[in-house]
Amino acid sequence: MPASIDYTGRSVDLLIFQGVEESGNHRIETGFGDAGFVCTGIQKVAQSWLALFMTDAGTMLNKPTRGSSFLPAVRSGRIRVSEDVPAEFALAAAQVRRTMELDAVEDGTLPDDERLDSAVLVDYDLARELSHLRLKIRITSIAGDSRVVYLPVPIPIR
Amino acid sequence: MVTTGDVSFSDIDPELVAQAEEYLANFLSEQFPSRDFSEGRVIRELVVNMAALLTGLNRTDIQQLLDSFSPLIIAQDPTAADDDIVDAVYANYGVERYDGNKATGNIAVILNDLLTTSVPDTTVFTANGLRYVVTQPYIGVTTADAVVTSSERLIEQRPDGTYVFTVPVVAEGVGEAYRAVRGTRFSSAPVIAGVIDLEAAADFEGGTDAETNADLVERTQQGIAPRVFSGRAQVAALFQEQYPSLINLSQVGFGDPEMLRDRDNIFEMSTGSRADLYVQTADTPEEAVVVKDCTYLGNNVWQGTINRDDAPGFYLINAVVPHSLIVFAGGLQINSEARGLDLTMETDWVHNVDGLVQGAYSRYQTAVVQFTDPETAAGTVVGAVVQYDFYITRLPDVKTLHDLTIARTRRPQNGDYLVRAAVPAFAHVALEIKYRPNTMAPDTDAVKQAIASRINALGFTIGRLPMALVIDAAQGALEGGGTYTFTPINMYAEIYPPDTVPSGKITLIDVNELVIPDLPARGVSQRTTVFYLPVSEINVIVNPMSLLAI
Repeated sequence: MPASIDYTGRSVDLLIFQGVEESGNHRIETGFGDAGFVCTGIQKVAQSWLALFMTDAGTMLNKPTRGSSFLPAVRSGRIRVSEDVPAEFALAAAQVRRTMELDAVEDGTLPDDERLDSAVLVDYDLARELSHLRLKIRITSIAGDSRVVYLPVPIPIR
Repeated sequence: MVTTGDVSFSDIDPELVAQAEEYLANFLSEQFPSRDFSEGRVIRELVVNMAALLTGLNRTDIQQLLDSFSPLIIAQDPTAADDDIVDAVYANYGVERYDGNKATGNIAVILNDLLTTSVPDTTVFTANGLRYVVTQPYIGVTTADAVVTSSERLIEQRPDGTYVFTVPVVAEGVGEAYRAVRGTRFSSAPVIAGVIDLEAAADFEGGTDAETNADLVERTQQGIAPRVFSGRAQVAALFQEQYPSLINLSQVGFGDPEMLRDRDNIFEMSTGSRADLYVQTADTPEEAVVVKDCTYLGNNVWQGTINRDDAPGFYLINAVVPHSLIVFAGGLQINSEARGLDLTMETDWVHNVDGLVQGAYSRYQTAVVQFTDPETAAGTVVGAVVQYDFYITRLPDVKTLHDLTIARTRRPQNGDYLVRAAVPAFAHVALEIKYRPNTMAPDTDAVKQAIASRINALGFTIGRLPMALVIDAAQGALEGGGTYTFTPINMYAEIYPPDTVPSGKITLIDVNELVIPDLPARGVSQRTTVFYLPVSEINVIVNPMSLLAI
């Protein structure tokens, strides 16, 4: 996937994941960037998905349904062994998917490359000795574009 | 004034925020079509949502401000409106909030020994959880020569061999709750050396509550009416204006069975043009001390007269004691008390009043009291005159209101409006509160105050004292966790009808409700009679309930 696309006639969102490159593995950090980068297409889908996935459901003022149960599951110790990871991911990803579909229906104008088709847990690694969980997620739009995101999550187990 | 500082996020209606968010997203999309403001986008979360919250905050604030400026909205929910704005709004109608005032009185400092005793100006006296302060340092001195300024208070000997001097105090806050009654026990901080007891030397005076927004709304509705002797709303407006702390007013007039004064004709038919205005000028009556010259009649019997100006509209003479006896129990034996009326003309006119049933508790009322003083000095000759102190229960300022009805410029040309203190139903309540063992015992003072406030506010509204109201008030002052008021409770009240006062009282006893009887020919009915329930007449005992360990 290209890091930049043709923005003509597209609506843009603020890019909050800095360090995105056209190809290869790169360290991504959250931030607005020096110049205030914008994004559209699959990048918009990816950051919306990640923001929802990492938001505790019920913590947004006046929007109790937004967010997911993944990080609460991590903090409350529901992920103890590797087999717990895909189960909790599936539950949380379904919540995010439902929210994004509702948003798309309500908006009614989103192009296919800005609508979520799937978020698949490609791989994961539960490093108990490091108290660390790594998720590899592929996010795909209805248009077929996709992004692979590596999501590191500290966990309270050893 | 209302500011955003008065509104928290919990006050903001989520629907209001949602509407603002939708509006802002659409508004910004039109202006900036290349930016994505749809749900879930970063701009939406960081910009639109935050702006929507602030918009909701501002709209809530503005709505509160607008509501505060609307008499209609204020009347619907007076508690939600800001006090300063309510004041400003009602000032347009010529109505000012009554701020209330602080109770004042004297505390008797009782000593074991005749020793100079100081009361620093930092002294705080406490009774029933309420605090009273002195406005200057005082010192109790042992000789009259040492009394030079108001700071020096002469210590006097009491009949029981102890000593006493009084200290003026003022309540720390405003309100009726601070009106201590005679005999109320106080504690002091710091402790005053040599003191064996601290008591209210007499009922405290003043102490009225500040008007709430609800009070102001009610008074404004009266305030819009012309303040003249006319219809009931107009008379109420006049009285409220002249006496802002007036608590309740009931007007009996033409056609009412309680109106007896307009039937003073050979046909005993109502002719109108008369009204009796029953007033409640305080939550509960207060006790005034009146010093009277009394005449010796022989055999240790003395006689004194309570004139109509001594305690206008008074209820009962509680005690007669030798002059300047500060702290006592009981008083001298009262052999007889004959009530009468003094209708001497004050202006160019006097009310038409025939007999006690028509004039008791008005400013015209008088009493001749005969009492026995067993300590009368041997050799006192018949006709000798000595001063005695009369402790008299009365409502304050009955004469103030009465004077409105006789002023030539104010009174109606064709009407006769007589002000009378409400016929008293002195109530007593006793109840038991049960609480869980090993938890803090309930605050009985708070319970008493809550019950008194509830019952004394009833006025002429329902003509009964239901147990349910007592229980409800008590429960409201209790912590949760299973603490409860044990039922039934004990209640009784004594009504002193105008035609037989001070004897011939009507006693009401019931566990469910005390109902004022409908005896209009005797001046007793819901329209004329109110329940008075001072804190001192409420007994509350607390006991832990018996529970099994779980």
